[in-house]
Amino acid sequence: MMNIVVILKQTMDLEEQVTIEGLKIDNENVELILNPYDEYAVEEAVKLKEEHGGGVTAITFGKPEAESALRTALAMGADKAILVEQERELDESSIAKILAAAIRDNEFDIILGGNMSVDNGASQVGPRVAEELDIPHISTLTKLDIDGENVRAERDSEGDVEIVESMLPILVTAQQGLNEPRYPSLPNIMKAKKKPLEKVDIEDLGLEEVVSKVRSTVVDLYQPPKKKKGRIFAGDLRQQVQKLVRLLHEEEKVV
Amino acid sequence: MTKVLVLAEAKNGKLRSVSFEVLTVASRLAADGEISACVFGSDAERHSKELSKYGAQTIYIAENEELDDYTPDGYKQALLEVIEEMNPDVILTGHTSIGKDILPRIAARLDKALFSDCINIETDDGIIFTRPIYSGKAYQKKKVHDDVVIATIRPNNMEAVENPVTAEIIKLPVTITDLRAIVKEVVSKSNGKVDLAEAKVVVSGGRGVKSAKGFEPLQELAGLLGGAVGASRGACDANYCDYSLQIGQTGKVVTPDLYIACGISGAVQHLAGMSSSKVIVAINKDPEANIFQVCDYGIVGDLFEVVPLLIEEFKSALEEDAVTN
Amino acid sequence: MKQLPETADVVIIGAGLMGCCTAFELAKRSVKNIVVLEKNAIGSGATGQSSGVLRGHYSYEVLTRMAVQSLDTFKYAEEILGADVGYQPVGYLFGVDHQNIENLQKNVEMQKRNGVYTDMVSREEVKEISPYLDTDLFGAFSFEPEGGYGDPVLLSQAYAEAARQLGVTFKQHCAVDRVMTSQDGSSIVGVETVDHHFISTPSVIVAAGVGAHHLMKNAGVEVPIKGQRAQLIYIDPGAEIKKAPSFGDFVQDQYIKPEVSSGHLLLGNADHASPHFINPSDYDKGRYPKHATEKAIETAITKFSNAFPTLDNAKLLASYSAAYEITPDGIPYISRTPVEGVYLCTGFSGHGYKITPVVGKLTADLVLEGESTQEGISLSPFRLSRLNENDSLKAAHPYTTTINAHV
Ligand SMILES: Cc1cc2nc3c(=O)[nH]c(=O)nc-3n(C[C@H](O)[C@H](O)[C@H](O)COP(=O)(O)OP(=O)(O)OC[C@H]3O[C@@H](n4cnc5c(N)ncnc54)[C@H](O)[C@@H]3O)c2cc1C
Ligand SMILES: Cc1cc2nc3c(=O)[nH]c(=O)nc-3n(C[C@H](O)[C@H](O)[C@H](O)COP(=O)(O)OP(=O)(O)OC[C@H]3O[C@@H](n4cnc5c(N)ncnc54)[C@H](O)[C@@H]3O)c2cc1C
Repeated sequence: MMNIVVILKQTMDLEEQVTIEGLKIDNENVELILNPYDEYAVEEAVKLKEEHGGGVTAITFGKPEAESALRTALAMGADKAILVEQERELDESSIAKILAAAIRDNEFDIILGGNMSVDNGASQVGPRVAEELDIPHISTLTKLDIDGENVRAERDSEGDVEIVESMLPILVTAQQGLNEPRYPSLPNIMKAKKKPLEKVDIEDLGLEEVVSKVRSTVVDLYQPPKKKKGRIFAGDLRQQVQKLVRLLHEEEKVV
Repeated sequence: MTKVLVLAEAKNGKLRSVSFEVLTVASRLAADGEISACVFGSDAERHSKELSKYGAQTIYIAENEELDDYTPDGYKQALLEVIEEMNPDVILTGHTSIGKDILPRIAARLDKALFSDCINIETDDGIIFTRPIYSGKAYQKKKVHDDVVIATIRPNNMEAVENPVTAEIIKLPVTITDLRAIVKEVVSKSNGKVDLAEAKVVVSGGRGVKSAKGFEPLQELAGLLGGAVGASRGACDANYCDYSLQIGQTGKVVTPDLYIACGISGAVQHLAGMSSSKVIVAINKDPEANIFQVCDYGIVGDLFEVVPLLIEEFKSALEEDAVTN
Repeated sequence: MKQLPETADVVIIGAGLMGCCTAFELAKRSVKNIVVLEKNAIGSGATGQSSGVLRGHYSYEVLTRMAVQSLDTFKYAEEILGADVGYQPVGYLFGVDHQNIENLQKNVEMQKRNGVYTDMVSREEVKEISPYLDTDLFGAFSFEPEGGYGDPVLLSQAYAEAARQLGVTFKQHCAVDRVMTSQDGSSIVGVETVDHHFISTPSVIVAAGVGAHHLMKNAGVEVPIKGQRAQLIYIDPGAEIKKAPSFGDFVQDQYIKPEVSSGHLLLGNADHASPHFINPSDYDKGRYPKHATEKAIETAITKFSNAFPTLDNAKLLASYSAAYEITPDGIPYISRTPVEGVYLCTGFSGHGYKITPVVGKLTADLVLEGESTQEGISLSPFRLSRLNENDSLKAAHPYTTTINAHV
C-alpha cells in the first residue's frame, strides 16, 4: 500500500494566444489546463496505485478555478484532492513552502510533480519541496520502478539517460516520455465531480507570515517583436535549396 | 563590495562553455567586487586555469570522487560549504540539467528567491533579470529584493568574454555523507526514434505527399537531421500515415527549432499545432498556399524535387562540420 | 503575390464556402473578371470550424429543397468540381420525443415529396442502424441513407480551385476595409482594402460571414448578424463502432457526427435556449473563447451517456469552442440591399454547409437575373427586408422541444 501525493498546477494552454494586460498575462478568454508535465505525474501516480495499491492525493495551490485541474486528476484516477486557495500570485519559494506544509499533514511515501510548468518555466518547485521536507529528489524522470523501499529511475539529463537509485520516501519530477497520460473516460469525468476535494487556505497552514515576504517583483512584461514576413526564394531550384540550407545551418543555427 | 560565486560545470573532462558565459555575467554583476568560481570532482583542479581566463579570482575546488557524478545531495553539501566559506552576495550557474536541479534546493535551504533561465541582467537600478515565460511567447523582467541573489543563466544566450586574471586556488576538504540518491550509470541516448513532441526538427507531410511511399524522402530528411516526421490531417485522412503523426488542433502540438512543412496548405487547424516553432520552412507548389503566410522561409516547387535536394545539401553541410570539428 | 486589378466586374468579399461557390457559379455563367478578397485564408472562417453534417431533414420546405438539390454536388464532386470533397454517406438518423411524432411524420412526408430519400424507421430498424443507441429515449425516428457528412474545407477549396480554372482571381490575406458607395449612398462604386488598394466595380457580393455587419454598416445598411458560441467535444467511443450514422437527437438537442477514418465522434450542442452571443466587432477580431466550458463539457457528456448508456468506456479526447454566424431568425440573407449593386450572401446560422451548392447558384441568379432560376426555390424568404416587415419564414410543422431554427 502506497501513499502517493501529486503536486500539480493549472496553466494556460500554450496553444492560446498570449495577451498582456499591464504586468499580467490575460487569463480571461483562454483555456486553462492541467500543466502537461503534471499530467505525466498524475498518470504515473495512478499507475503506481494500480501496481502497489494505496491512494493518490492531488494537491495544488492556486485560484478557485484551479479546482478544475484537480478534477482532471481525479477523473484520471486520483482519490482525493486538496486546493490551497489563494487569489494572489506568489513566488516559487512561497509556493514550495505552502505545498510542503499541505503535504506534511498527510502520510506520504512518494511525491510526484512535473519538472516544470509550461507558463512560468522555472523548474523550481519540485526540488524546493524536497528540500523543505528534507527528502531526496530525482528530477526529469523518464522511467520509474519501485520495489519495496527501493527506487530505481531513469532521468533525462540533456539527452543522456542517468540511471539513479534511491529510497522511499522521495520526490520525483516528470519529464515528457515518462508515460502516455490516459484520456479520462466520460463516466470517470462525472464521478470525479463527487470525489472529496478539500479547500484550505494559507492561514489554516499557519503560513501567512512566511509567504508575505516579497522576494521579487515583476517590473516589466512584454511580447517579443512580431515575426517578420517570411522570405520566399526565387531562381534556380538548387541554388534556392543551397541558400536555405546555409541560412538554417549558419544563421538560424537550427541544424 | 559584491562577492559573486559561479558554480562551474565540467562534462567529459572539459568545462562547459556555459560556465564561461556565466562568469562573464558575474563580472558585470561584481563590478569592482570579487568573482569566485567553484568546481567539483576528483580532477577539478585542472579547470582552474581556464576559469581564471574568464575572470575567476578565487577558485574553490572540492576534490572528491563522490562528486565525480552529479548528485543533488553531494553537490548540495559541497556548495553549502563553499557558501559558508565565502558568504557570496550572488550565486550563479547555467540553466542546465545540473543548475536547475541543484539551485532550487540551495535557494530553499538559504530561504531565498531563485531567478531561473535568465537571458539578460540589468544593474542600473537594483538587479533586474529578464526571463522568457510561456515558452518564449512573453518576457518578464523581475527585480530582486533578497539580500542574496541566486540565478540560473540560459546557455548559448550571452557571449563569453575573456578577462584573464591570476587566481587564488582554495581546496576545500569536503566530506560527503549520506548520498540518498546515486547515479548508477549514464547512457547516451540511443539513436532510436525521436519522439515527435520532443523533436528539435520536425519534417511534416500533407496531402501533397500523395502516398504512404511519398513519405519516404521526408523520413530520410528527418533521420538525417535527428528529427521526427509529422503530418497534416489531410495526409492522415488519406491514409498516407498514422494518426499518431497528426499535428494541429485535433492532433499534437509541437514547438521544434525547425519545422519543415512539405505539401501542406496551412489550414488554421494545422497552424494551431505548429505555429510556435522557432523556424518554419514551407515547401509547396502553390505560391498562393496559406502556409507561405506563416513561414520564415519558403520554396515554391515540387516537394519531390526539393526534398531530395535538401537531403543532398544538408548532407554536405553536415559533413563539412564533421571535418572542421 | 498576384497584383490586384484596378477594376472588376464582380468583387466577392470572403472566401468561405459561400464566396468560393458563388465565384464558381458566376464564372461558369461567363462572368469575366471576378475577384475574391479574403481577409485570412480560404475556408478559415465558419467554414473551417464546421462539423460538416449533411442531411435533407428540415422542417422548412424551401431549405429541404435546397439541401436536396445540393446533394448531387457532394455525390459527384469529382465530375462537377474535379476534386473529392470528403462526402461520407454514413446516413442521417433523426430522433424526436413522443410529443413530436406527428410533426416528424408530416415533415418526413414533406421531405419525401421534395425528393429526400428518407422514411420513418422503427426501433428495430434503428437497432440495426445505430446499435448502441438507447431507443427507448425516443418517440420516433426517421432515417436518410444518403445523409452523413463531408469536409467543408475541402469543398471550399474545390470551389476555389474550379473557379481559378475559370479565371477567377483569389486574393488571400487581403481584408476589405470599406464598401464604397456613390455620394448619396445609393449605389456601389467599389471596395477599398485595408492596405488602401481600390477596386472599382459595379457589383459586390458580401459573403463575409459576420464581417458583413461592419462592412454594411459603413455603407449605411444595418445587417443584423452576430456570432454565437458553439461548443463541441470530441470523443473516442471506447468501442469499435462499425456503424454510426450522423445523428440528430432532438429529445436532448445534441448532434453526433462519426468520423469514419478515426472511429471518433464529434458531439455538438443543438440547444439554443440560452445562447452566448459574440458581438460582430469581437468576432471580427477573433476575440471570443476558443475553448469549451466545463459546464458545456459536462452537459455534452450527460447527453451522450443518456443516449448511449452502454458506451461507458468512451473517452474525452478534446473540446473546443467555435462561433456560428447567426441571424435573428436563423435564416440566411441571399439578398439585394438598399445600395444598388451590393448583395448579401451571409448569415447561414450554423447550417449552411449542406446547402452551399444551391446558395452559389441562387446568388449568381440574384446578381445576373434578379430572381431565382432554381426550381421551386424563391429568393423571397432570404431577403434582408423580411425582418422589418415581420415576415420571417415559418415552418409548417416546427418541433416543439427546441427553439431551433436550424431544422
Ligand atoms: C474541426 C476541424 C479540426 C481539424 N483539425 C486538424 C488538425 O488537427 N490538423 C490538421 O492538419 N488539419 C486539421 N483539420 C483539417 C484542415 O482544415 C485541413 O483540411 C488539413 O490540414 C489539410 O491538410 P493538407 O494541408 O495536407 O491538405 P491540402 O489542404 O489538400 O493541401 C495540400 C497541399 O499540397 C500542395 N502540393 C500538392 N502536391 C505537391 C507537390 N508535389 N509538391 C509540393 N506541394 C504540393 C498543394 O499545393 C496544397 O497546398 C481540421 C479541420 C476541422 C474542420
Ligand atoms: C461549429 C460549426 C458547426 C457547423 N456545422 C454544420 C453542419 O454540421 N452542417 C451544415 O450544413 N453547416 C454547419 N455549419 C455552418 C456552415 O459551416 C456555415 O454556415 C458556412 O461555413 C458559412 O460559410 P460562409 O462562407 O458564409 O462563411 P465563412 O466561412 O465565415 O466565410 C466568410 C469569410 O469572409 C472573410 N471575411 C470577413 N470579413 C472580411 C473582410 N472585411 N474582408 C475580406 N474577407 C472577410 C472571413 O475571413 C471568412 O473566411 C457549422 C458552422 C459552425 C461554426
